[in-house]
Amino acid sequence: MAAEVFAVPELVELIFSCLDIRSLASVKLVCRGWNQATKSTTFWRGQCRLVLHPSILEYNEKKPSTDWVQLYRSVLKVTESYEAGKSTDPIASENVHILPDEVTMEIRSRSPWVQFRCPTPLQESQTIWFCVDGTGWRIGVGSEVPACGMGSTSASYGLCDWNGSVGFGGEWHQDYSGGKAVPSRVPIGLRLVALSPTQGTLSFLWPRDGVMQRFPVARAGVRLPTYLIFTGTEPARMRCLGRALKGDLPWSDEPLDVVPMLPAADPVAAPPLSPPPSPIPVPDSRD
Amino acid sequence: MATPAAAAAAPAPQLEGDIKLVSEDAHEFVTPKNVAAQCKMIKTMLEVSEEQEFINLPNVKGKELEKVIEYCRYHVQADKPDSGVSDNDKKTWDENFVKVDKETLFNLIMAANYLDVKSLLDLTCATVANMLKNKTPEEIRREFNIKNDLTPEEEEEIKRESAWLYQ
Repeated sequence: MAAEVFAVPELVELIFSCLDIRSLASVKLVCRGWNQATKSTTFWRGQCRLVLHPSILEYNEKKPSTDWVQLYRSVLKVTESYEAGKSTDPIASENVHILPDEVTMEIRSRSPWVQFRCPTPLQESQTIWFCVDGTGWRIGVGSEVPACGMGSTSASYGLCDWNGSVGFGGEWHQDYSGGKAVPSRVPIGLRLVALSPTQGTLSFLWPRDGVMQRFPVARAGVRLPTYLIFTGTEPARMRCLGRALKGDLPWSDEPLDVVPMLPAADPVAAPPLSPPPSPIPVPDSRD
Repeated sequence: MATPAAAAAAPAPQLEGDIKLVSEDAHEFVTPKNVAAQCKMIKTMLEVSEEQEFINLPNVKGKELEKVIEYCRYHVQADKPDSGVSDNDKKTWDENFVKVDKETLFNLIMAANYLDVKSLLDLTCATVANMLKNKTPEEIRREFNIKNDLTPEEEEEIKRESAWLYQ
């Protein structure tokens, strides 16, 4: 009888929708059908699962814990908007189906990464962005990351494995000014400190040990803004992959190599471990 | 016939009396209509023909139909605002209700799906989901007798997708 149930996609989706992200990672490995079921286009509809970094909660003392729920609602709404092909601007929480227990559960578990799953695999011309600025949190799907910025108080970054599984990790800098980072209370994770299109680097501060990390994201045909994938919860294990975003910048179909972390010694000034090759601009015929 | 608005406001008067539900294996259950109508599928049938005396349910066996009726009967009473049954009590009842063997549980899922009892479907699916939690893929395969048809390359690829979870 189990086979009968598992043969009905809607039932499988319903069962899987009760699972946390770790259990889902496990069921994906059970068999091909189950792996496919976790990727189905309807599976995540209206119930995007989000694992938020607890430091979001701790980051701003003014914001009560309910802001998690608010953010979660925004994300859900964005997911729904994405499905409908509408605007990706966050919309107020009305009419949003929410799974508050899951948010609570994830807060309790203090999962270190934001995890966001798209209802459908992303096209290469799309990306997910996650942004915090003076107006609050924003997350969305679009053709480019908005407002990554030097001299700005906002910063956005996201990651995607191009299979519809998208995650975001890290924290951000609230008061970016003059390139100086405000000391963080965040226990673990990354903070985006600066995007430097001229230098082709992305600088992060690793709050736990105060080490500044620079990623050489300017590689052949890849310039900022760059799409990044982060994994790892500590500097020594962190990896970063990048892709150029569509915009007025060329695309690179080649993802950046896995970039090892820079040595901790004098990290701010440390050069990339492997020198980037000469930039080879790739004309974007789609523009 | 009532207008849709009136029906939405006062569905109860249409559901007086009993209806005989007949399972696939010919078990008969005389059930109050308001209990049977917790199954959306039956409710629709009752609305189409108020005069019918029995409904054949060819996809549900007697054992599961009895359980579904038990579930509906309890919730018709317990969900009334003046029932005095707390949410905790209902939760406990539900938890006990799904303490059944695996075959019955899966049969209940199919029955709830066929009869369109959303809350029961959610409950039973969540129960199965709990059986999947904190298990390795191999344990899940063993538990549900599922053959692994993933190639080693596919497995590696899937593991890579989720690698960040375990960093």
